[in-house]
Amino acid sequence: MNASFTEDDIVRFIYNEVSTEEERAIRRAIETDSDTSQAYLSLLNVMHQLDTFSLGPSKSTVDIIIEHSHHSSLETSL
Amino acid sequence: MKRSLISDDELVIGYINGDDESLKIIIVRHKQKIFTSIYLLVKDHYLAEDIFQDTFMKVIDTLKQGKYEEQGKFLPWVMRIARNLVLDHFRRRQKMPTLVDSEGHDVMAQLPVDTENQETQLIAAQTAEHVRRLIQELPDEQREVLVLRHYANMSFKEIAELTGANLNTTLGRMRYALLTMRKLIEKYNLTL
Repeated sequence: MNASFTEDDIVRFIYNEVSTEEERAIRRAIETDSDTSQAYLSLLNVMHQLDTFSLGPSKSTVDIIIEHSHHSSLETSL
Repeated sequence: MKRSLISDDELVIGYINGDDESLKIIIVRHKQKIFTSIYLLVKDHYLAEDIFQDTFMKVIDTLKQGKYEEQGKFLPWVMRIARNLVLDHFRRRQKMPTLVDSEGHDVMAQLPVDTENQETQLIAAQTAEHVRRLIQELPDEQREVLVLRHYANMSFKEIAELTGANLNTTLGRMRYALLTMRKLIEKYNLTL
């Protein structure tokens, strides 16, 4: 990997937590250095797998929350 | 203005001023991230439902009492509440006496719990199921950082502040979590 960047830098890059300058430099490294490119693609692949998992609460749970809010509004207005 | 373009702060202000619709919008906007994060931390769907509900009860009560001071950071604030409730649950569970049988074995550990079928029914895709299992094989600290960054969309700095670790430690845990996930995918030869 490009000696200027660590895997932590690649992680920050993947999650858009780098400065504009860092972003430009890391992008250049990914394009020109095969180790950096491999590390980046490998971590990006894991990130995409994580995206396949998503769950939401049941409708009844959300309804209970909204009901609680409604009751709170009524109590406040009394 | 389209409701979907309204910021969280504007929705919160709207809700505090009596617009209940704003609360619904904000719940719909963030429910997947928050619920997924809670679920991956507690590993139990029904418990995650309870904690999600309790989280928003606290959110509502705080907003109604005029105590909200997290402008620009609604989601991290909600995740802090959720995480504290998760920790409270685990602390209470540790205090519960362990029921043992005549041979000294933990009774709860032996009860047949059909969570696998329940979980599988709830998760549509086999791929998602694999991902869930892999995440739950991660060490607790790595799993927490991964969940809070990837699913709750908190920044590494916010996660560091929340967990009391420094930024480098937090980044390191995330790196190890992603590398561990990669190794597990290879180990189980999963096609995800």
